[in-house]
Amino acid sequence: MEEVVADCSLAEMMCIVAARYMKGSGTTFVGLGLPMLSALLAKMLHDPEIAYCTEVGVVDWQPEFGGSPRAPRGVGDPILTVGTAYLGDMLDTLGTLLMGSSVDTAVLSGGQIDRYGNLNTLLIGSYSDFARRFPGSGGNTDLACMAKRTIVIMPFEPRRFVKRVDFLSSPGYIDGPGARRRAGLEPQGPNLVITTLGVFGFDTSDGGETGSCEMELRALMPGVEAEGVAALIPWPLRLSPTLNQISPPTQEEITLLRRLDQAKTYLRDGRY
Amino acid sequence: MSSKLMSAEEAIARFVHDGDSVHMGQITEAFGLAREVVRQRKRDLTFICAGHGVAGLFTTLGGCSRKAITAYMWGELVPGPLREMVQRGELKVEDYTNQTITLMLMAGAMGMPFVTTRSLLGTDYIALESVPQPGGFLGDQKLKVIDSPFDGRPVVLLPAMRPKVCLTHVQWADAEGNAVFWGGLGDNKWGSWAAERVIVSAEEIVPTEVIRSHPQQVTLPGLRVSAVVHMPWGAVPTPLAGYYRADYPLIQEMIGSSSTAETLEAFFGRWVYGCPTHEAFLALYRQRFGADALEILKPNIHVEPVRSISYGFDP
Repeated sequence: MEEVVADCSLAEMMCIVAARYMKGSGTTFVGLGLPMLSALLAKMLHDPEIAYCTEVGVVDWQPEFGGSPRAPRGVGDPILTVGTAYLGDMLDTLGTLLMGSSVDTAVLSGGQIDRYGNLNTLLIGSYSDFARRFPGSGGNTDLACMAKRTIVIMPFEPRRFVKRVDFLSSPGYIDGPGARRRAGLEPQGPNLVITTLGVFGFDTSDGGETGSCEMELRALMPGVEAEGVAALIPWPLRLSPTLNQISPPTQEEITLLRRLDQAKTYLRDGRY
Repeated sequence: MSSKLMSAEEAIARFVHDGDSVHMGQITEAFGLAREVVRQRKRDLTFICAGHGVAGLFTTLGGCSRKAITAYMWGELVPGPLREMVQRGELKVEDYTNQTITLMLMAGAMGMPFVTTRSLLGTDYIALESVPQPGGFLGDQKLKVIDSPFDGRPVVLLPAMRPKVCLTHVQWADAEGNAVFWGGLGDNKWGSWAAERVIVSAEEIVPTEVIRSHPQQVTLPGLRVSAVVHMPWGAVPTPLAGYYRADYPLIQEMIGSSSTAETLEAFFGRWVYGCPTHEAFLALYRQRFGADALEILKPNIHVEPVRSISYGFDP
C-alpha cells in the first residue's frame, strides 16, 4: 500500500472509488458532472480500454492525444474533439450505439434516488405543482433505460436518498423484481451507487428478475460505520453479507485526480 | 446556385415569424442570430432544443418565447426568473430527453409520422401521460405506448417534429449555404435537416471551391438553407470548436440582471436594443469585458488532420 493522503475530501474519495469500480466498463457513456472526472481517472489509472463517450457525439475519446489531459468541463467541451475516434451526433450515440445495444456502461448522476435505484432528474414536488426544477434528463433517461450496466455517482445527502422519487425520470428497478421487463425494458437495472459515505449495490442475483431489487450497502468509506449510514436512509437498509471497508486513497489516485480537475470545475471546496 | 448572403437583420425579418417553432442547436448556439430575434421583438415563439441553453434563456427572458420543448434547461443554474415563469404558467415546458427529441426531429426530417424508442418506458413521463396536467405537457397524450406488432414488446411512439425555422452557427459556409460544422453535432444535424427554413450564420464565408473539395465534411447542403449570414464570433458566449471556448461574463450579467423587470430591461436595452448590428455588439463586448475579451477565448492547443484525404475519378 502506498502512502495514504490524509486530507482527501469525501467528494474526492467518492470520485476515486467510483473510478476503481469502473475497471472493465468497456464502451462507457459519461454523464454531465462528476462522472466526467471519475471516468477519466478510471481510464488513465485503471483501464485504458475504457471507450470514453459523451452523448453529443464523442465516441472513444483518447485524453492524452492533445498532450494536456484534463477533465472535460461539459459534454460539449471542445477538448473532446481532440483525439476522439469518432465525432458524430446525438443519434450516433444515443440512437445507434445505445439503441443498438453497444453501450456497456452508463455513468450517471441525478437529483434524487430511491430504494429501487430510480433516479429523478426533473423536479421536486408534483409535475403540475413543483417546488423546484432540476435541469432535466438530458440523456440520463435514455441511458438508464438501455445501457447494459449503470453506475450512479451521487454525493450522500439525506434529501437525495428518498423512499420514492418525486418524479421517476430514469428507471432503476421501478418497484421491484421483474418490473423492468413488464415495462418493456431489459431486466438489468442499476448496478452500483457510489456515494460519499459508501457503495451500494442491489439485492438481485440475476440482474433484476428475482430478489428484492432494493439498494443494499456493499462497502463503506474509510471511517464510516454501517449504523450511521442506515440511520440516514428513510427505509430499512439492507446490508450486503460481504459488506467491507474501502481502502484509503493512494497518493497516485489523489495526485492524478487533482491534476485532472486543476480548475476545480468539479471538486470546489465545500461543495459537497 | 445563387448567393443567399444577407444581413442578420434581413434574414431574421424574412424567415422568422411570430408564432414560429424555432430549433436552436445545443453546445454551439447561434447567439448572434438569437440576439437579432430579440431585437426585432419576435413573439410567441416555441423553442425546440435538446439543451435549452444560453440563447434559449436569452430569447425567453427577452420576451420572445412562451414555450420550450427540451431535455435540459440551462445547466445547473435554472435561473430563478425562468423557474418563476414556468411556475406562473408564462413559459410552458415540454420535457423530453436528448435521444427522444433528436429522434422526433429525425422523423420530421424524413417525413415519418412517428418514430419508436424503448427510452421512457417505466418512467413517470409515461405514467402521467394520460393524466391532465395544468401548465405542463404531460397529459397531452403525445406519447403512446403500444405492443410492437412484430415482437409483441411494449414500445413508445414519439410524434414527428418539424420546426418552422432553424438557427444554426457553423465554422464555414459558402454563399450558397453549404455549411461545414465540426465538433460534437448534438441535435444540430437533425434540427437543421428537419426545419422548413434554415438560417446559417458562419464564422467564415469560404469559396465554394473549398467546400466542394471535401464534401464529406459538409454537414448541411445549401439547398436546405434559406439565408447565410457572415458573423465572426457569432456563437459567443457559447463555444465553437477550433475557434473559441465558452465565456461566462455576459451570461452572468444576464442572470444577475434578471432579478427585477427594471434591471432586465436595462440589460436588454444595453446589449440588444442599443446594438443595432453584430459589430456594435462586439464593440460593446470589448468595451465592457476588456479589449482582448474575445481574443483570449481562442484555443492555445490546435490539432490539425495529420493527413488530408483525396478524392479521384477516371476522366
